[in-house]
Amino acid sequence: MKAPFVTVILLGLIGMAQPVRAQQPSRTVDCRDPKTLNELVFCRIQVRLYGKLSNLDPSRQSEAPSITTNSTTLADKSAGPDVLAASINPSGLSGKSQVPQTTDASLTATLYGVYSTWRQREPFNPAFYEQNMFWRRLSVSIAPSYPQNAAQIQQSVSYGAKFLVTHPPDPLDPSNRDNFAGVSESLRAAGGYFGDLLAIQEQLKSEYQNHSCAAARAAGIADSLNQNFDGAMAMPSLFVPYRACITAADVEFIDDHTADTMTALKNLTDQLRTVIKNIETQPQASFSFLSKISQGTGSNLYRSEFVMDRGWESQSLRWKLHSTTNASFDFSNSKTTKPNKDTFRLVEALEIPPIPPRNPVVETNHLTIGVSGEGDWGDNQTPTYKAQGKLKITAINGFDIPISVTYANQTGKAKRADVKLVAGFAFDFAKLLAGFRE
Amino acid sequence: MAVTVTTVVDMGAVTLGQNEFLFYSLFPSAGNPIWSFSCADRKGIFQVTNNPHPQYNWAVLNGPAPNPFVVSTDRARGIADIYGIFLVFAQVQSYRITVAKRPLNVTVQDITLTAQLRIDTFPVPLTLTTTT
Repeated sequence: MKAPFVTVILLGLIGMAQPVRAQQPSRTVDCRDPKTLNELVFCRIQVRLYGKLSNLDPSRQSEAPSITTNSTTLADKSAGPDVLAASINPSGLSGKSQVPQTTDASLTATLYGVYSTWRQREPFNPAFYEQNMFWRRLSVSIAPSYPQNAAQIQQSVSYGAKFLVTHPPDPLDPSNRDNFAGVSESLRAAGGYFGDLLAIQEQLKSEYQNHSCAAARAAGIADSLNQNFDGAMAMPSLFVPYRACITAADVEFIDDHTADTMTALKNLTDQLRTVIKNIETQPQASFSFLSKISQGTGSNLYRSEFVMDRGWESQSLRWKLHSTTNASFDFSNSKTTKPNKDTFRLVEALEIPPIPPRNPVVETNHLTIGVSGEGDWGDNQTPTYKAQGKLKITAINGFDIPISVTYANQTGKAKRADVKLVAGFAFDFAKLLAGFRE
Repeated sequence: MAVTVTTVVDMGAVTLGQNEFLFYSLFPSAGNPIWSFSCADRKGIFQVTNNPHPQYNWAVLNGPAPNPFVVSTDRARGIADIYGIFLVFAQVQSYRITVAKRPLNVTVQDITLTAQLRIDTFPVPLTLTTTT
């Protein structure tokens, strides 16, 4: 590897390039409509990579909020989904306990999702996504709770709003320059992309020469491809009609051939993301307000909550620990003669993937285990302490099956210990869509 | 990925005769450019991560390299290679790349790439085949 350089000397030896510039329309690379072979291959890697990486952010919540009766979580995460998430915890999958049996559903959307719908823009358009970061900080949720037995408890509906308070500084600030020096080795490895691209181009060329292609003949580009196949791969006017010649087997060849490059790009992306994230967001914090409105004589519960997420990672030991802390003030408004309750609530949740994928780019993390503890203190009540063990199975990216077992030293109604098993299904539609796009 | 490409010229593939060379120029916009130059068999022939300049120049020569800023081709005559620049947009919003075939001074590539996401990266390849 040679040192970086500025070839002022070279300019004297071989002259300064003076290309004449012509006015040409700009176009944004659109992975749904790649205009060159380079764009097709690189987009293919990026789309697959996004699908894998989006599964790795543990600070997003797709499960029902903790305030719902049958929630699978004690702690709320600091961020909502990218766009839209839904969950359902059927009462039939819950163990019997002193806590009422309910079926809880939830729907959570970022205002970004609402805003993009209103503006009739594709929410996954990267430019639109980047320009509307503010709307991504706000999320709202609704979670109706249906009792298994109407006589057991009244129906309730939970509403929530969450605002991500962290305000990232700008990575373009020159003072952050030194932070990027560490990407050197990953940047070198990412150069392997050009070897892959050459192999793919050679394969496509060989196939074309041996089998020809009716679509190319029909489009009138056969002669151009025969004369200069390599050049044609960079020319939108030739490559776009040629794309019809690319078969499913070719796409498989591309995927197989770019596996190493994906890893290199993943490492580079990880490093860039880490550096940018370190600059932009240290511990991620949010404020949320949740309310559970009960029908009939049930109490209404109002929760003002501060949420903080933080992760620790060891590259060498390949573990990744994620911590979520909730501190909330709960106000329970009684509709009967019972006194109202003010409760201070503190929750700490830790999550770790027990079997970290050897290569997170090509392997999904299918299992996460978590432990949580909660303490509730307030007037007109004896303190409540809860401990929760949790297993989250990720069937596919964007589809989780959380199963939790919660021990409480007492419940609101009965002053004795209780154990409850809850299982459910959680969907994050941005992650699911990324998987389908792949 | 949110990279906008403005192409003035992109031949995509070029041939180099004996003692012909490609003259590369890279013009980053304000900021700290992060990029590398590679070919199919050599990763990171040059790479820059923390050495900001308004312009970088180098050459790829079909023949022995006279100085460290000139890269010799490494594939046999008639065997295609791909040379490419891998761009990182974390601290720079846009790059312009020009490649001229010398001494004929024919522009074979003149592309400007602009990214809207800090996390964006993008490769710019050029197929090169030596002929003599």
